[in-house]
Amino acid sequence: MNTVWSYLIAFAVWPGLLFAAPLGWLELWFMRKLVARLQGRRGPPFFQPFFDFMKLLGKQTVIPRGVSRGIFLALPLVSVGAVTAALAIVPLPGNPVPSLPGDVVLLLYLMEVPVLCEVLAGYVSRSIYGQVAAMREALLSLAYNLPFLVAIIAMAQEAGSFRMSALQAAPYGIVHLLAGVTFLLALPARMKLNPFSIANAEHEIVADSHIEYSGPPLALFKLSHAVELVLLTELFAVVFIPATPWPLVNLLVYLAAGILVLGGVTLLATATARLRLAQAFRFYWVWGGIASAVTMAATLVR
Amino acid sequence: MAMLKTILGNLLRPSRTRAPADMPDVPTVYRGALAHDAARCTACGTCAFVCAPKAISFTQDPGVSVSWHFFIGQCSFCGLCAQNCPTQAISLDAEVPTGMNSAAGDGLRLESIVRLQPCTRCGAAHVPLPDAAIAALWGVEEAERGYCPDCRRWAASARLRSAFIPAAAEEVHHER
Repeated sequence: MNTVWSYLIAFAVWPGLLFAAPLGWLELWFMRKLVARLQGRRGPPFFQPFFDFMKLLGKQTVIPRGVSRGIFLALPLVSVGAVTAALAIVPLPGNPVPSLPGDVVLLLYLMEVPVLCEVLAGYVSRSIYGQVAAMREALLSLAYNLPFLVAIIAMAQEAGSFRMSALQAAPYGIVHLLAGVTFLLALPARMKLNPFSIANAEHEIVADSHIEYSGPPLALFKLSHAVELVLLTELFAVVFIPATPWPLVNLLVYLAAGILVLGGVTLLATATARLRLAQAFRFYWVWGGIASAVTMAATLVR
Repeated sequence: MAMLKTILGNLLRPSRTRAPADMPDVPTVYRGALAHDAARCTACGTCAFVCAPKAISFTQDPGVSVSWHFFIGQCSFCGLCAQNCPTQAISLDAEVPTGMNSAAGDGLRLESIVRLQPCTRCGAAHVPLPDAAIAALWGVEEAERGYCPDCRRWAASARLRSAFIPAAAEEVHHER
């Protein structure tokens, strides 16, 4: 019973929805504000992502003709659920969930679920734009997952365990740096940011794969994206930033590191133009592949 | 790298967009929302005549009132009506019009009713001249203020006549 409660609290409160949603909105606002300032604009007010979410909640849900109602409405829920569950596993300071053997694998599986949901949402919606976006998303995930998975697996190899707590506690070394760089290489594409914003290229295919979504389901997809931002930045901080013995300091360092990573990624997104799918694919399999090989080699050399 | 220099420069400079609160002042000659002052209108029809897209029209309720109509869907904000109005009854304000035209054609329609008044001499319903025009033409205390155009013409010719034939001045008031 106690374990069940700790899972529920981790999912719903800390570091789950109740914490991740406002932090995700904060991070979204930070990115949008930074992009605006870099482009010489004023940028949105602080509560804008929250306003967007609340407004979408109040809007009508339109389900396209011929689309299965159940799967259309289930996809955003599954997406939010999976990404929040993934965040609940991340050993942030004060996370009530006990460390499981192999939770790294579970985390990596759960992190793929939102991507799968997006791909399915694109295909399910019967929109040609949604299908193009879904195809792009699926292909791109084959590209960026190489450095992304290798970065985490190399850290597991380094720590000698597939426990998140072991990854967090691994003694700091050269592998951390190499794997961190490899992870950062995959981050812009995972966040669908500019040089790799191919699946959500609004100038080419109107919107991303949830083009047919509206109202609360779209709000859930947006929330899922916000929580995913928190998940990715905090995962980076937990795995690649050396932990201090003080939990509160750790937490502050993790949050600061997350914002810093977002700032860097946003800078990159503002300074670059969108690549084509083939270019992005080649980038990830050549440079991501080289980075992955170097990272794996470093774990073995030790 | 040039792009990086540009965007980092933007970060240090203030924003180039303006918030609603510090919008630049509207120029005094800006032609925005149209306003009509029924108290100054003489229903002469000049505005309807010069309006190229026919956004302005007049209708009459004989003996009671004249109505000035405006439909924003046809207005091009050229300002000819305000420029040609002899009594400055029409003005184009600096504000944005409240309701622009939609595809359904249900844009802003203005109606301004100019009440007819009985002539103080003959009783015929007429559009009174604006106070400023009356004061300029006849002075403030003159009895001709409430006259209809016909009576004004009659009064003018009567004055002319009495200037030439002083004896006729007494007969004038007994006519009609």
